[in-house]
Amino acid sequence: MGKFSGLSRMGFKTGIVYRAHFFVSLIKIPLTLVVFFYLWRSIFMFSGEEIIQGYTFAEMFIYYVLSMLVGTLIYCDVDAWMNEGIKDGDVVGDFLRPVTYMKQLFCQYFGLRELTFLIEVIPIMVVSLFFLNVPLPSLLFGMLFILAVFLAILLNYFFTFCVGLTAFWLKEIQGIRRVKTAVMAFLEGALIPLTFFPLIFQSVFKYLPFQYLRFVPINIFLEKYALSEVVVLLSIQTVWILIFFFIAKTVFKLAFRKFAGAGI
Amino acid sequence: MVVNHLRVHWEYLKVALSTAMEYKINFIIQVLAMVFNDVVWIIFWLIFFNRFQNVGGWVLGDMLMLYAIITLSYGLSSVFFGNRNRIAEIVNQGKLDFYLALPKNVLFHVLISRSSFYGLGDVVFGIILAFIVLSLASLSLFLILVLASTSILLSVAILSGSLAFFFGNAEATSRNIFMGTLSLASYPLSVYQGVTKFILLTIIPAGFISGVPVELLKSFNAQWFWLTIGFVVLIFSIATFVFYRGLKKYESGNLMYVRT
Amino acid sequence: MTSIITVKNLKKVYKTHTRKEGLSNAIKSLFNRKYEYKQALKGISFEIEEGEIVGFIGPNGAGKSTTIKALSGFLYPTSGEVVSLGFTPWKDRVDYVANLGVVLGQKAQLWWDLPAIDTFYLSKDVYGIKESTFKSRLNFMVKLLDLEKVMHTPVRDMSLGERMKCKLVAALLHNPKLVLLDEPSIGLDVIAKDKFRDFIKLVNKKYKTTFIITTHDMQEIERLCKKIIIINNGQIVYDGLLKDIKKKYLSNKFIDVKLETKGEKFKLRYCKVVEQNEYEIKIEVNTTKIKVKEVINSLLSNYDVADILISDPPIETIIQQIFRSKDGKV
Repeated sequence: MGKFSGLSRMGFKTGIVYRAHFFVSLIKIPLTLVVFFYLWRSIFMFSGEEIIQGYTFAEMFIYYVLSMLVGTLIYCDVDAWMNEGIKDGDVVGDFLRPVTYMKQLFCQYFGLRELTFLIEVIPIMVVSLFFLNVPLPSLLFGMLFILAVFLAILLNYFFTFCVGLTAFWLKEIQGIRRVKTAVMAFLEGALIPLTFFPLIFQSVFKYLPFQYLRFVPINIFLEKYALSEVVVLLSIQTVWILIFFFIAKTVFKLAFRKFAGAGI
Repeated sequence: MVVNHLRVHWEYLKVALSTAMEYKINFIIQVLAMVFNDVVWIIFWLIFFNRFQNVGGWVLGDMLMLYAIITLSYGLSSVFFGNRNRIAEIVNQGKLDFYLALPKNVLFHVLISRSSFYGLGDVVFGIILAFIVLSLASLSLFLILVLASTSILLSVAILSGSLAFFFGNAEATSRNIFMGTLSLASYPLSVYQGVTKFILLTIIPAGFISGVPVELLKSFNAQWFWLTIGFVVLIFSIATFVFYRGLKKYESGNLMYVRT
Repeated sequence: MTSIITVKNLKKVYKTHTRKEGLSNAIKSLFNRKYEYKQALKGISFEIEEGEIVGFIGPNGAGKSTTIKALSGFLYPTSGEVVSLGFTPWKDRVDYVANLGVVLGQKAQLWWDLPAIDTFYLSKDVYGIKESTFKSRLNFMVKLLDLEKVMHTPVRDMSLGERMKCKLVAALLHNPKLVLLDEPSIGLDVIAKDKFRDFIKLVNKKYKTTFIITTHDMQEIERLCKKIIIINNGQIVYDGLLKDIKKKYLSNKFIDVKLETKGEKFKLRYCKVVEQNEYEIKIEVNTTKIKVKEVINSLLSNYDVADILISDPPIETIIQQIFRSKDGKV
């Protein structure tokens, strides 16, 4: 266990050095919420509907508050770290530690999550509870929400690690990361709840990994699912974690061989 | 003068392009990513207007117009003033000394001495969008408004970048102010109300970047047109003033920031 | 004595793409890349025994780094065999590196934004070092290398030399059996170099740690290594004791003299004047025939000397000499 706590402590401490980054989000998050607040208020007023695509105005706003919360918690730019390390060659420092590369980065990412939780997520939670009147789910759904977010943290890591592995071949993956960010913002449900898509799309999304990062945890919190549905969704989420874990493991072997100049 | 400037610029563009070619697949993907990113937003609004037809008095065509203006002004400013978002970095890392040594307008030279090749993707995308939604009659007004909105974007970049003169390490903050303003400008102006709307037309100039131009193209209003032009002149003067105020501080060596 | 590393017929070929300058060539390279093959190692074999300090020398691009990389576990050779500490480095990387310490001169191995002490504590956890052992080892090293204060400042604010010393500590904390040092003295001043070398000697004696050191610096080799391996052009040209090669090829020394006032032409037996102008003389001395002291005495009595510098011939010269000898072998 010592190995892992040591590495996650490094992630935590590096995060403290770059704490300015966190203060920026103190402006960014309220600003985004203001935009969505006005956008949806105007829509609800113009359309005169009480419920739009399954959400009341209050729920819609809470959706975005939760989206900020979950998004902050699962934020992962391990692919950018990998890209840097591979480009300047410092990745060899990681290869000289007696821990697999995937575990090392995971521990650092997890340490950074702990810091994020303390200095970013707790303030969001406090403000949401006391000033925005966010209603709490039942204990059961509350627990399921926490579980879903925890799984989302894992899922996002293994997915991002897979994206980062491409850097071993391409050296520079800014472009890929941009595409990833754009697609994810959409398919996670960060821009708009996925219920706005045609039903066929929604049934496809169910079997893609992305909605399990944001949309599903949020809707568990809002108790939009029956318990049996939640069980199915969490199972699919778990399957995706395993899939990306195995892809990451297998492709890393190839990536390492490529890095170490095998087969020449 | 103009020809000379363009020639210098072509050199910067060539450098940017050669660097990009070094990572060939990334280069192709990055160009596609620029367009793709814009497409995702368009799809977002397509879905939106498919459901509502009308958001705060705006229809899909208005939204596309807004994107045409934003992508064009964003793209043009990154191609021609590629250092737009790097002012804070340049100040902070002491790279300004290089420009101070040149017998040229410091601010102007800082801005143009880099070209972001990828901005061309935005420019092309904006032109295509404009072709779809713009009527020939309003072309000249459209061009004037794009120039106005490019100038406001530049002013915001200069203002936020100049923070570095006064607070040292302001790279992340400066970038976020710029991107935040841009994201506020990416929604219909009409949804904002009351105080928020007032703020967006004053302190945070997001309204003048996109919202007001779209309203003007929908139905021309001389008063708002001249207000926009007046605002451009005002904010650009303020931005230049603040930059040179900061520069004075920089030159007199009062900067507390020490580089090792 | 048992051998800790066995390398057999190790070969490595690199593939790189070439590109000419200019924009049009950049675009061309997008579609059509030309590749070049470079043989970095042409089948080298050697053995290293436990507790040795081995100097690995050769000019740039000779294959030193490639060998170090293969021994560090992040290079797949084209062919050949390496058994180090009982492992094949590139196959059993994770288990293998637990007993390995590596210092790469050019790469960042410390956490850039954090004080070095944090990296040390990371080593403690990652290698599972006991608290008491960790404390005593750290104190021992930190004191010897003068790092007590420095290790609390962020690595990015350190000087090159301080960083290098900290890297060495990080690489040694877990008491590895084998330590690879790639150009370790880059950026160190003369005093720091001395401390650095004494320290390596001490660790080697105290813990029987095996060291492999690559360097350009002949003095460093002389101070540290009994055994040296000289590599050139991907081939080993010498593998043996330093004193043997010294007898044969390091018999010459260079003396650079700066003069206060103009001097006559220099002449002395067993000395060759390489270069002489009004205020400078460069002499090559055959030390098997004449003592350096004698030469200097002669210089001091005949000239108004401002400064004297005595140096060894550069490593490239020695290698050239070896090649000039009959079959390229010693």
